[in-house]
Amino acid sequence: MARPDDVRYTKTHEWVKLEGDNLTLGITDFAVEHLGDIVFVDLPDTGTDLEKGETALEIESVKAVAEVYAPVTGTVEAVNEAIADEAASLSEDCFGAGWLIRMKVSDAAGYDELMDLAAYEKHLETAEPE
Amino acid sequence: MSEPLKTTPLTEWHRSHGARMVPFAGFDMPVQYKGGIQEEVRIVRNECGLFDLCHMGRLVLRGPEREKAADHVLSQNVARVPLGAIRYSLICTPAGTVVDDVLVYHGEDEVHVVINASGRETDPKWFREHTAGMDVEIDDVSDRQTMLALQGPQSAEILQTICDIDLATIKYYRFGQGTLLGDLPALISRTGYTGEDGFELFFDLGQAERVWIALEQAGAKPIGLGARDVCRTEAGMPLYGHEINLEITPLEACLDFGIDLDKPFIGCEALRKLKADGLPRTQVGLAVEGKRVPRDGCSVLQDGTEVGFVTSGTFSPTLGRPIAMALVRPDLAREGLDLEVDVRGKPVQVKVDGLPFYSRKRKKKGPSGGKN
Repeated sequence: MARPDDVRYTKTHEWVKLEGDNLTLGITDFAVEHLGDIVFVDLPDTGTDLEKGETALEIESVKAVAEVYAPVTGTVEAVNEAIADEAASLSEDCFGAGWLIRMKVSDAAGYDELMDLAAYEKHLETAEPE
Repeated sequence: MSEPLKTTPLTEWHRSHGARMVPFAGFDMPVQYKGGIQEEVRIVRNECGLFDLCHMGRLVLRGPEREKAADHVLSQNVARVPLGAIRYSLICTPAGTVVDDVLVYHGEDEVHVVINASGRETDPKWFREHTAGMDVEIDDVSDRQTMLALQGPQSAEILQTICDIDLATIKYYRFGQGTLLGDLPALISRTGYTGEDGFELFFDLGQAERVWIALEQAGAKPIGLGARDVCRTEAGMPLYGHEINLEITPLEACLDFGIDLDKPFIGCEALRKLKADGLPRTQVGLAVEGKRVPRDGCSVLQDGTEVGFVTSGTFSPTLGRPIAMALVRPDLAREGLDLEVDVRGKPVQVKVDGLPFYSRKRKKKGPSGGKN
């Protein structure tokens, strides 16, 4: 899967697309592969206020649960209901149709420290599975 | 972890065939291959899965007092197990809690004990300490022997292609000696840890890869520890460290079939007293509403009060819903009773359910599940 270069990446394998103060959050192909068989995405309610670093949602795989963190502070504006119904589709297009939540950003502090594609791919070389 | 992980003769094969490796009880083991855990569970339930179990421990007891030694340490009445038969058993502490759970093989001249990987250091020591003075040799063959499992409805058919003895003569929980690939002596038992028909094979360590590849070419597919754990949970089988440990007794874990309280063994007095006084907790299955999975350690609540905890939980690919086992107050072990599990701060509704969740004789089961 080609990783887009118009998004930023976190060390915990989320991707973040910021357009104005609208942010879209997903997880990377590395995270998808690492999680294994995803069975359920526990999405937050729209309107939920999230602090930077707070757990935004949880992804359940057969054997484990993974937390997805809010990269900046803001409010959940939309969630991808299609993913909640059919979690397996997340693995097919995690950078596109497999987006997780959209947020209205109230404080973008921290965004500038996120990695670009080149830095993320370098991070992956040293990323330790499990 | 300070010590380097131990390997099996198949570690390199796993790595070069797309396995994701994880540390397990000090060994570098495959948790899954490329197809993923759900696909591997499907293979075990419908075809034939192949498992590297070289990490598990194996003891052989020899000498005139081998049965006496086994009967002192193990909760099962070994001397009364028919020759050629296998029984589930516990190794208990004097307090009646569990050191390990094992399978004991009653041979004519030897008693074989298959122990967990986590018990490889402790169990041989325990056996030797508690049988000092008896005329018995405790031979730890774990490092000299391959252990593989074939599990699934096609296991007999596939194993028969490389095996000289008629597998129909080895009944459930029985074992026999056979020859693999024309020249390799092996102990073959009709046992497993998935709830399916299948076999476990024990033979010379140096022959592991040759047999593994032959079985794979005959149609068996490699399965990792992830699917193994899902299958045993679906089948309601205990895992040491979860359903039983040094703080849980086998009576609470509903493992009475592995215990003979009418004979003396380490822990028997404590267990007899516990049985007479009444159990403080008991094992139940939980049928889970929704998709959140209650995991090991989650609290079980009734009307907001903690009444137990989850010992194992997973998503069941076979049933298409989450399942969990829990240890709860004994008066709550009533099928259909509504309880709640605190899954990382979120309440999940559950109903007390019978175990196992899955049995190969009852493949079709509605979403309510359980023994109704």
